Amino acid sequence: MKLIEVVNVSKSFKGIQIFNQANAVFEQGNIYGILGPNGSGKSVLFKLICGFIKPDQGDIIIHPSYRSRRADFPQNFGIIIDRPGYAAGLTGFENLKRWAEIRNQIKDEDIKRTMRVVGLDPDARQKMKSYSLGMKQKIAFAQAIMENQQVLILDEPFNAMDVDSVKVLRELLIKYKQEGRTIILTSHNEEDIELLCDQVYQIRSHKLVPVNTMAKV
Amino acid sequence: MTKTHYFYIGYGLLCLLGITSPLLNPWEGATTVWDRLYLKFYGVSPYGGFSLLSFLFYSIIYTGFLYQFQLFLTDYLSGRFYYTAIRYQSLARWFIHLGWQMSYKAACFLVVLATVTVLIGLALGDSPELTVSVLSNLTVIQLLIQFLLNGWLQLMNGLMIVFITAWVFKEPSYNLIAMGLLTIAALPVLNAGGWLPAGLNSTAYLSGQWEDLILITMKLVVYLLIQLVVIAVLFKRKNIAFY
Repeated sequence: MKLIEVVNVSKSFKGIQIFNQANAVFEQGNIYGILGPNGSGKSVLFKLICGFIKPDQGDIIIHPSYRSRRADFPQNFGIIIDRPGYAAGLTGFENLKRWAEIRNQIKDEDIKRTMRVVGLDPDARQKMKSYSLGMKQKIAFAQAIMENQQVLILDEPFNAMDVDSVKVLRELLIKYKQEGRTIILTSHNEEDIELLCDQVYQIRSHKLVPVNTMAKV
Repeated sequence: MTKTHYFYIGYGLLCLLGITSPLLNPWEGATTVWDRLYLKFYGVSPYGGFSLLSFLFYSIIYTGFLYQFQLFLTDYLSGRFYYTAIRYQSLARWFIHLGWQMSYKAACFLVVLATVTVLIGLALGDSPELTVSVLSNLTVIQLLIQFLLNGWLQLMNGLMIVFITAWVFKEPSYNLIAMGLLTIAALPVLNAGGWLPAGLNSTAYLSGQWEDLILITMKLVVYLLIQLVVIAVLFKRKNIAFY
């Protein structure tokens, strides 16, 4: 099933062309990698897919089962975009609880379980302002998955994480894929792309070019 | 202690200093706590003369409140926003939630400011009598409406301007310029007639006439509605990529 289609999308910022007639298709149940140098438009692509920005031309088509009427953004999407965002004066659990309260779909125990999965102690009283970058990244990862989101849009999900955590979370993403979830991620680590992705798109000449995973890396 | 904590401590001390200072708008005939509220938050208007100290205190109090919102917004929009907005699924729903939080904080801020002023007045020996003796035809009710209701509307106008500036320019530095312009726009020479939404909650605008008071309320409500329309248009355009 085609879950997300990028159709002839063009986008520029302040006269700088990011995408020009770019096309891509993301099917359900696969893991996709997006490659490209810094500033090539990986984050822009994710913001386009999530509805945070509109294409100048072309369309982003999201499968109807992930859209609801009068909504600006797709539903059931877990995202990491730009950088981990958090309230510095709250603990990791408190931050996650605030997000969870918006949709009110999960209980405290679900949040705690997710925190343990990503390698964080849910009962720690440490405020997020004193978290390491890797711990902040784990909170970002936790908020993207804690509500059982079926589509994960992850910009550099393993950034600053230790080797063991990366290994655990890679296995988690593979398990999610087997469950039928769809994952689109970027990574500067070629190993992540090689191990995880079924298909890779490279941003080249303002287009999304499908590349053979092994050939690319 | 973070920079934000130092800001709050410094801001709180400046508020207390202004409320207690005998140098800020001294008036021989002032006897009640309501006189103190009127005089300390006299601010600025084209009608009642100009006092630099009064203008500075007004600017510090109200621009300080907008500045803390700007600090919050800069941090919020650069990170948490995406994870929050996608859960609301709608910019309008997200904004209503944010607006509700901000309007609640603005109301609390004004209530605390008025309460602290009255309590300090009582502690310094001011009379609790329900009269404003420095302006004979002004009632306490009118003073409170100007301070709390028009004060809240004025703060909401400032908050919306900060929000719109952050949304459009996506750079925190533009908000400092916006707040500077708002402060300057409150000056009598620029706001003759009080047609700009700046400084209109100064008690200097009070004449004791209900019509004048209601006119200020109406101006602030109209500006607030215009700002909400601008925000709705910006949301429609959807170009969300911050900092």
